Amino acid sequence: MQIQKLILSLQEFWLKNGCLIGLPYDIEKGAGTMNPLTFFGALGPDAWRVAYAEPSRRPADGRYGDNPFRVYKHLQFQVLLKPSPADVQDLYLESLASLGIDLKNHDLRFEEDNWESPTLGSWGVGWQVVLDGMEISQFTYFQQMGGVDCKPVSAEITYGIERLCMFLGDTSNIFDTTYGLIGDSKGSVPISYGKLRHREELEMSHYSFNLADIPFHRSLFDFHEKEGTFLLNEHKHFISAYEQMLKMSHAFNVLDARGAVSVSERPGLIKRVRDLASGCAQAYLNHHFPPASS
Amino acid sequence: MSKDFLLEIHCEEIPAKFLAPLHLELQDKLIQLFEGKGLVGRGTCPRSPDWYSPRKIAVFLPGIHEIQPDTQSLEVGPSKSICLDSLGQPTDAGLRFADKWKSNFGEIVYEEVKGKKGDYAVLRRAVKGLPAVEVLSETLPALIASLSVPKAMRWGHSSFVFVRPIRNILCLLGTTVVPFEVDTVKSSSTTLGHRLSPGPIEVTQPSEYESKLANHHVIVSCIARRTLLQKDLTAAASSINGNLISDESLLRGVSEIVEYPSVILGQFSPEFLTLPQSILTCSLREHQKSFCIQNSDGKLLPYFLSIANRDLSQDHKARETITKGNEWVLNARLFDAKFFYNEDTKTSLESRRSRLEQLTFIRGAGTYLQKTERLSTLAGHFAPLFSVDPLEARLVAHLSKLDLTTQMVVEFPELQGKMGSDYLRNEGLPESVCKAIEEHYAPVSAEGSLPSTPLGSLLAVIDKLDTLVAAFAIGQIPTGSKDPLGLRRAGSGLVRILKNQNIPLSPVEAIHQSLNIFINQFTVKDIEKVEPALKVFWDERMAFALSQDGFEQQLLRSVMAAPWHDHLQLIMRCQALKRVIVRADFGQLIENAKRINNILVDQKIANPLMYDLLETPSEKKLLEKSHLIDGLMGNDQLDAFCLALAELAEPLEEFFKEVMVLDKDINIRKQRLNLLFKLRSQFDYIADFSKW
Repeated sequence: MQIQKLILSLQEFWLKNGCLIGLPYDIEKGAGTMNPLTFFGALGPDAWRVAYAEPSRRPADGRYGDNPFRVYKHLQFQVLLKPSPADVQDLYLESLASLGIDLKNHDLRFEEDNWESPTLGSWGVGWQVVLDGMEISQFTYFQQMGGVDCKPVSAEITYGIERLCMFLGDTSNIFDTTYGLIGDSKGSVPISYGKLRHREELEMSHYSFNLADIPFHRSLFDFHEKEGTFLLNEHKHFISAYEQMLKMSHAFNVLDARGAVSVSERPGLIKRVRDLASGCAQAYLNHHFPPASS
Repeated sequence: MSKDFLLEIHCEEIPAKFLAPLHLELQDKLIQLFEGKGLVGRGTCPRSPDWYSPRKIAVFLPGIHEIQPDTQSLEVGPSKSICLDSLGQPTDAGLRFADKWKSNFGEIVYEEVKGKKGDYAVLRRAVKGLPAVEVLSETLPALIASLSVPKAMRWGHSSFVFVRPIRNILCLLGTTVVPFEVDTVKSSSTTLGHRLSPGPIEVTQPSEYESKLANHHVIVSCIARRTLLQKDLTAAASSINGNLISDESLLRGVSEIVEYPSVILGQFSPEFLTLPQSILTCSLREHQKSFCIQNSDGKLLPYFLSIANRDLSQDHKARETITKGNEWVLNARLFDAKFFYNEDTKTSLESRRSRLEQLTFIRGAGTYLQKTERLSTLAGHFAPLFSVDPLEARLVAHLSKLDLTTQMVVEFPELQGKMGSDYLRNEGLPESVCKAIEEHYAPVSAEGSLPSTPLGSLLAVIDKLDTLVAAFAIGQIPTGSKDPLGLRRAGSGLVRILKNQNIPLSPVEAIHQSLNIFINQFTVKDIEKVEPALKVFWDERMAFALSQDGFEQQLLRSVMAAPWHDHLQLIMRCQALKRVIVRADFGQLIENAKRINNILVDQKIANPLMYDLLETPSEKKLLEKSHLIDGLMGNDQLDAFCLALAELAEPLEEFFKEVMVLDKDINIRKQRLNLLFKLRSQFDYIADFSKW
């Protein structure tokens, strides 16, 4: 199985099931949920369905490209269905079938795994989906986003692309998976995930653990907070402010990987990101669904 | 006629830990409802079988009446004088009362009603029992909505709150569907099977529910799944000449996450057998919910047993695929574990000390580095009490928390202590040190095993002592059901270790010492309240532990209310006292001891301590006996002491009959009071009887 084909199959499946096919958002983020298509999409009363692939950067997960399973940056495929349909689990199982996973030959479990993002002020309940012993997806009913109750509730499905691909292709090293083929009429050659990304993993791991300038990232964190708060408070701009929140969050993750965040300092920094995220959620709702004036 | 009743709530996968409590609550509430509505005799309803699986909670109750019994209702109206006018004719009010209950005025009788004066209008009406199906369709929706869900959720557009989305409801009384609706789901006579054989399945009567589900690959009885698992696990282990390492809590856990259990026997790469066994078993259990197999020498074999959620007895191809998948995942997990282990062992544990500074112990009570410093001081101080070398004790304390910084413990928190001891053993530290670090988190539960060595016991005790003191010092005192730091468990553990090792540690001294060390590092608010609060907490833990030994509450309360040094003394006093309280005159003695207490409330001891004016026979006898007791005060003579105490009963009774304590003669009065003070101090030596 090629990574690009896996993404295409999922896009095709969810397109057929009434989702917009979104694009990754061009700012570093730790999880696909942080794409505005999901963060804002889960808010408010209107129906919404979207699916997209999203690269997720987790600086502390970097392993210099030495570890066959863990990487600084991995791909998530993200689906948001609002309101959560009654047959959402069956839809998900159909999506697996579309990838060639015939449940007749496998073992599947939905195991309790509740999701929480303290930086986004968001949480939900749900499961990790375990296929033949491996966690392949995260399944969440959003209860709150940006500190606001989700009404109606959305269902979010997150597929771990590389894992799924390794599993389907029986590959034991992430860098040995095939991303895709290039070629012309004379033939084609496979391009491995390693060829595409190994050097990036090495450099970004070095950067996250050893080279990133700590005072610089601390000031980035502060500046983005200041900028975001200004945009939100002075102009009620929640999209540009949200981008500042994403940058804060990434600066925090770099500082964390760099070992520069003490345990006692951590909750305070997380709260500062969350405050901006919650502010954005509130401003979004005020703009699109202004409370009826009394 | 009575019928079988069946209610099944089918949800998306319910978290395992909620299944049994939810099933129990649903069952209790149903029985309560049936009894309340007269649909079953009180106390006659048998318990439901344990029918629950990840997607189902089902209660089966036999012997439910089809129709409620007829009853009579009693309606009380206005008083007779309001219903009838002076001529004995019906008034408007009287007629309205009859109308209200759709009765004729003539049916009203006048009689006395409890709690009211004079005669009142009363109507007795026969109330026809309703069909059970009707009663239930009205009451069941509210009953289901009332089930408690610790982590509740909403879904879709609904504001209905439950543990997971409800997708189907089956409800039958005999062959009849009990019709109702919960959050747009209508009850019916159909259920759903395993995802590979979903149905829908028509259930015509409750008694065929279990077998129909079994045909669709759901074993709905939890105990049946567990029994099957136990059997298959054992068989699979012996198929490779190994023995299953049994794990009751894992077995319980996996039987609650599958609808149909099948055992998968897989292999992992033997290279991982070089990892410490605890890492292997932990990784298998925690990450993959898998069981381990050992050979007859107790060595792990490179095999594991996982549980699949489906019937695999006929399907070899699927079994092969699933086994391969599980092996792939497990090897990946173990690769990660080995990576952590290798990273951890690249440097000595000691070289990680600075990282303890990054690790918060309790918010507001500093880091683990600070805790380690306190533990070292405490270890040196209390080492002699545990008969261990103070230098070794300090070393153990110094090293005790280092493994919290290792990747292995970050990944598997339950390996704390264990990893430290493994790593230090590799570094060549003495076995006694490694063992003490390994066992210092014990006991981990109320019945958990205790540290086996004196050094481990010392470390375990001071670790818990310091946690208690630090938490109380920053105001984190457990209240009611709130005990987020697990202080009660720590306190009980501490007391159990002291009892187990026979360590005469005085709570007062231990708390004082530990708090003094804590305030070297931190400023404590309201410090004067900390020690008394901790002493009360310690006493509660101690009282709990001793009540487990079979001492009665009033005995314990009285003995613990008198000043005591340590639990060994407490236990001896309780035992000695227990032996004499069976005496017939003991009750009298206690009454008189209480009387002495009352008399002495506002009195002071008078100097000089003279008794020469006491001349009545009873006070002379009392004095003589009391002098005798003076010679029996010592831990080794407790039985003789208690006996002598009991023998005070008779003269004391005579004394109170014969003399007036508060005599007119001030000097006699002083001496009599002094005699009572002397007696009380002797009582206090063993117990404060005012608490009896």
